[in-house]
Amino acid sequence: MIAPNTIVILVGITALGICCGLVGALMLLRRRALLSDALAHATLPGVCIAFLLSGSRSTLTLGFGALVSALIGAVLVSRLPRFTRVRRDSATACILGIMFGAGIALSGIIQRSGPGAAAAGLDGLLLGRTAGMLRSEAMVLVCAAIVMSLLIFVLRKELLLSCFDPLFGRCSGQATGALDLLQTSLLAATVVLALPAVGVVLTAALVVIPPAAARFWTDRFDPLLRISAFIGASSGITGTIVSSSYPDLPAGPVIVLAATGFFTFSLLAAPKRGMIARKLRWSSRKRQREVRRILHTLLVACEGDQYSLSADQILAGSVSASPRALNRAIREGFVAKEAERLQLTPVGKKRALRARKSQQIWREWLTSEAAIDRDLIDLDEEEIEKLLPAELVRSLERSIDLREAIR
Amino acid sequence: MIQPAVEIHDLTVAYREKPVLWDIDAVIPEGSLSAIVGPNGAGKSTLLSAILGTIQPASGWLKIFDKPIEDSDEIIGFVPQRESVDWDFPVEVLDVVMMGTYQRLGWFRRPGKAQHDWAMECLDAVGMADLYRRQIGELSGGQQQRVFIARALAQDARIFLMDEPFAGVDAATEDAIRRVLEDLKKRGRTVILVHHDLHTIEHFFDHVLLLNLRLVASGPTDEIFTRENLLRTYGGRLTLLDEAAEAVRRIRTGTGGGGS
Amino acid sequence: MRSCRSVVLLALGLLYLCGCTGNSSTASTNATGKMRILCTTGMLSGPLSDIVGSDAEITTLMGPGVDPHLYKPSPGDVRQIMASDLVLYHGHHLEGRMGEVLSRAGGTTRDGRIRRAFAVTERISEHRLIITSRGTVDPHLWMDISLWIDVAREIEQILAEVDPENGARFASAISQLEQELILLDKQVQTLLAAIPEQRRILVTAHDAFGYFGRRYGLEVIGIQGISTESEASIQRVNSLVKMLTERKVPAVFVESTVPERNVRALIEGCEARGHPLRIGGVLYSDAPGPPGSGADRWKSMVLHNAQVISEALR
Repeated sequence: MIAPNTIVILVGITALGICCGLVGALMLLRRRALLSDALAHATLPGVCIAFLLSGSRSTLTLGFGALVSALIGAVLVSRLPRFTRVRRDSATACILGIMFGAGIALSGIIQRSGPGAAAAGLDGLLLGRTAGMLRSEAMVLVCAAIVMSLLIFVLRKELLLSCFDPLFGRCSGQATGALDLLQTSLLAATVVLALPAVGVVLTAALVVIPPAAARFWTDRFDPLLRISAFIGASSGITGTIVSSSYPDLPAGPVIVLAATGFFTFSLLAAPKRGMIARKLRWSSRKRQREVRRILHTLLVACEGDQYSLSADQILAGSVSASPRALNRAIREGFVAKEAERLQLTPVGKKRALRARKSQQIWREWLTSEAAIDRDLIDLDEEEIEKLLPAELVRSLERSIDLREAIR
Repeated sequence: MIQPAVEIHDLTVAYREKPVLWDIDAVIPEGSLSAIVGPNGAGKSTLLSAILGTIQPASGWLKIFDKPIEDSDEIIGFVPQRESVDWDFPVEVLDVVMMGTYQRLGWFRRPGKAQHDWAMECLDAVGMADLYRRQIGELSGGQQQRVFIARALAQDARIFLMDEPFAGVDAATEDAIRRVLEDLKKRGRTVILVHHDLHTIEHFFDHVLLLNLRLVASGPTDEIFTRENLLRTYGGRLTLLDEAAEAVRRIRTGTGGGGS
Repeated sequence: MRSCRSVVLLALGLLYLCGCTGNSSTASTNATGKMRILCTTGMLSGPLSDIVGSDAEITTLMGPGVDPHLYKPSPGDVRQIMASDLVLYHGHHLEGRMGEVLSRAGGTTRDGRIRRAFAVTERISEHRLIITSRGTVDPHLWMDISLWIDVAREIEQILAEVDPENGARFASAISQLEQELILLDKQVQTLLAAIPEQRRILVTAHDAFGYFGRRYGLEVIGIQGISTESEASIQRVNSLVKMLTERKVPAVFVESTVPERNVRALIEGCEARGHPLRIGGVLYSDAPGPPGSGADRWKSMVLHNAQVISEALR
């Protein structure tokens, strides 16, 4: 049976993960990932000022202060490049530093100000205090997740356009300014909600990592948002479960580590865009190219009435073909082996002819459709020496000689 | 009297206190195919932005179909320059073309079958219908350009603005774009292009604006497109490359001397 | 534009100079001629002022409600330390973030005065102290009145060393204080004796009451660890909820210097398990309370805690 506190935390963190994943995906697509870090740090002066002005420790008051100062930070970040020479990424980093510094200074003043100060728990906002999540906090997070999902569902096409091509959006009469403000507000709200759970320092990680991981799995907009939300939620759940199974493991950092784990897994294992898949595709293509060259060598030999060749002859005549490629050609039924001689099978011959035809078409296209002057293809010796390195020219000459010899 | 599609009067646009367009006065008739021509930095893209209404002029006014631009809710089809887009964005060809339909849909409504079919028609008009599920980063330069044009077509506008649509595209795309423009002209739409290839102006466009910060000349092509005006636009130096290309062309076609 | 820039530079330069020169005057002159003693917390300045009376200027660095584990000294604090003749602090890492400053507190000033600093609790022999499971020393000695009497004696000895002329007065003051504290100790014991056996569990926000529990016979559990710097883990909260529910503990306590969120999470957890847990009251653990709270000096602090605990658990 799961402990009741853990259930509260799981519900809250799942909702938070969904919010962070959704908002983070939008930020990733608009290339504003750093903004989430800046806004997280910009909440600190707002919390401090709210406490100083009201003397109240209520989450509502402090949260409101955090939201206001995060929004001010966002406005400054977008205005600064417009009125000065500072570029956007520098502006983001500046605002991050300035507001966070101001927040630290203010919190230093507060800690001296007497009773109730430390009890406001300002220090805890830096790294988060997940273990003490209250039912009310979890409920607020769930509502936020629902509202955000609804907004994104209803405004899907507007958000897509404003992320992809805001210029076209403006031209087609879209209120890009209002949409920008909406997305920034969503980010600010998410960041403020994340403060008690994971704290200022780690919030950015939770907003940036899930969409980055999700990008490996899809090339389309809607799936990206869904997968990002899913990874955000899963990181939260995994992190919470792991940290609650061991004594003294703080939940916030473990959640971020879980997100990193998802990211690493996506980086490596995603089909199509993952590193492993890419490497496999690259090797496979390389192998196929080598097989094609082997078939071409055999075809040319056939046309010169030499119907079988030895393995060495084939490898010498095909540029950078390896014995592995030769074995593959045999395995795939293109080449038959008899004693030490190898020859093209009918299937292999068809394949070789098709490859040659494709080559010719490609070359034809290059010269005619792509408007590359055919005359330019006839370079004379001096030009070739200038364009290609000597080693390469010599090795090309060798291949050509060998081909002539085979004929 | 053909109603002017676009009227521009005394338009001046400045960017950080530097003038980019100065005192532009022009009239673009409805149903015409117009080219905006000039050297780099002449303000051609800025002029398009002014007609689109995305930048505020420092002075002067514009009218679209006789309505001042601030009051006009005319939909204007727009094909931007290709570099302005993030090609790694996770979106498919059809999604991009459907963006052209958003303006007519308005807020909150989701594109349905009607928009889907219309977008496919526009894709077909540029010869890209079978690539509709491709992610845009996997397209060649010319194909990307055609997607943009399909998007503009999907807007179903009376006026189309295009920023260098022929720049750096292959022959197939050139043909496709040309077909689209001819079709638009047949249907009486107004098209304004920023164009860079001086040699194709004469037999293609019926209206020309020669721009270099100021409007050097504007009007029907056969009246305005003279060597003298071109020299004034390009500051007396038609670029060397153009001249070399001109020379090569003369040699190839066997015409010695004479030219634009 | 250029004139604007040089004006800005000039202004920045002036600001910098102001920052440098300000307040160096507090350093050397001692207007009243009395010894200047600086204590870090009210738990030290309480007994100290009882012993030394008005014969010294006493400054307390951390006011009521300030958490000594998290307190970061400002440049103003450092200047005050440097301007004192005698610096008294707890030691054993209670003033967790002031370690560097305090280690350099003793020394000679530029005008030849000697400044002395003492880690008062480190003078108590280790076998009387509580060592935590991690091998560190629990610094919250003031919770055990009998132990704190020894600390007061150490303070008196330090004073006698530093100001031998007034040695006799200090000696009589300390013996009077001892009598008071022995009575206070008995008072606390009587209050807490009223709690029945099965309810003698004290759950607080952090592990500050070790000595209290050892002296007055209560089982003591803190949600966070020894220092408020550590974060409560989920597992700890869960195991506490389980324990509180199983043993039917009626109340838990919040502390004035620690956010009560964790304690409220405990209460929610117990409620979900059908055990109504309530907050027994506010305890003053790491700092005395504000004026008017009834716990604004060390003595009243410990007494107040005992009363609150006794009433809630009875």
